[in-house]
Amino acid sequence: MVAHPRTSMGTHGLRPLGLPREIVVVVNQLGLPSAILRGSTVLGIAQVEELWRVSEAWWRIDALARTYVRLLLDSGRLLTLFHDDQCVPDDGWYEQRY
Amino acid sequence: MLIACLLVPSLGLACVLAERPHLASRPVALTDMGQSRVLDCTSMAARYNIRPGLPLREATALCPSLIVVEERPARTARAAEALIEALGTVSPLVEAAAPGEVYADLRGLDGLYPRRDLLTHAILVAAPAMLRPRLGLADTRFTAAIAARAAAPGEARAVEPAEAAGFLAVQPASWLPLGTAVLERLRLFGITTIGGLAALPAHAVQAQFGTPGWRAWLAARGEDPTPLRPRPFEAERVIEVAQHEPPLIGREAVTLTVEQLLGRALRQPRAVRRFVRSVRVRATTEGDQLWERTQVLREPTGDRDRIWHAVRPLLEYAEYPGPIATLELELGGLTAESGRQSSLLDAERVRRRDQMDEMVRHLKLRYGLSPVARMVEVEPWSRIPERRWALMDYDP
Repeated sequence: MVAHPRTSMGTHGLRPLGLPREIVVVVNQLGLPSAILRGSTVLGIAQVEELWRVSEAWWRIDALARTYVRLLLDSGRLLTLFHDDQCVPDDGWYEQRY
Repeated sequence: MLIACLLVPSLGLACVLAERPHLASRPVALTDMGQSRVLDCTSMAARYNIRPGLPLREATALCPSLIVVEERPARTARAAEALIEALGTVSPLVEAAAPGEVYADLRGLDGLYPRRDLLTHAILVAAPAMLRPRLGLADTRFTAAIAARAAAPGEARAVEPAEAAGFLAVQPASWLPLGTAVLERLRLFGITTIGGLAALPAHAVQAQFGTPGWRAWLAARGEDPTPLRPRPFEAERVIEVAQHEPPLIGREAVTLTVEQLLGRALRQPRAVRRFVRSVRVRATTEGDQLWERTQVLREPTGDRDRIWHAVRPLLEYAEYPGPIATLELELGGLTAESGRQSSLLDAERVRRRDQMDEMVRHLKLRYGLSPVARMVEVEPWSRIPERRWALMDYDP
């Protein structure tokens, strides 16, 4: 009998681009970022420019719920972060480049 | 014994009952994906006059305690494949007549299986035990099928050529290979057993029921002329499978994956320098729903672009039943080694592409994987940035 021709299974090399990077954030009483820690450097936040929420596939176990914030840093640079809403406010912050 | 029939009656329902055996004694109806009609039902449900084809609303009115189970075509297809493979373990000549009904030609196996019990044991051990398939062995295809139907679940029944006519004579006429309308006419004529049809003169049967009736008459006498039509040998097809966790939601991602599977399938040693006649794409959702299309090519070809040109429209206009967890691509009808005369005036672009492909092949050989990737759009509309673009291995 000839061996079954099925090959090993896998996702065959699709690697997502633009994956978020974990970041350490100090939050205020409202749960919004008040400072960002990058190594030993503290990045001050001048203003929260925009805030929006993304919720997808809420009916699935791996549902996705994120709160995005676009921040204006003290240095004048814009930075987009999101908080994974399944984590506690202090934890689960990521930097994401659009 | 020349022919074996491995049978699981009502395969879709049998799969459900195999997973949930406590339902076997309850009124259960298997419905289509939209839960609009009954596809099959248990004997307990049949007592309430529930039958295949009945609208579900009527069925629940007839039996308020009816347990409704939605069909899962992918699971049924897997079970059907397992039955084919079970017979394939003893014989290379296997025909999949219908889901749950498989035949095999057993000629020439005496050396391997000198005793019949060894042969039946080999088949039944290879088959999925949960489905409790029935095995029929006989000299003709129809007799083998009836022997399988008459066998107890999980058991084998052999019918010797000399006893075939007597065995068939007492079986119900509804098992004859005839359409519903013809079977109803037989019933109105008072013919309730196969022997009743066999006892009629051949010319009378042929006059009433035409060629199908004559063939059924021959089958009823144990002289079924229907030959076995074995499926192509494994060597004539190539299968590539990709599983996805989480499942693919976007059509683009499915299309890209199939394109990559096609490239991989064409690189399999079995497909190299051979032409392809047909391509089958099967997508299975995480809920075991099935989407399947087969494209027979206008002419056999081994050219990836031409095959992709034929397959792509199927995917672009596909309506998948849900997020895709498994994708399978099969190249069928592979020809013998073939070649095509290329043009003397190949364009510069093609030459460069060939050079790059050759270089990447070298790098792959050196590093074990392709170090070159191309950027592809996956779900460009997605609100989640990491889902919009992806890198795919450039794998010529």
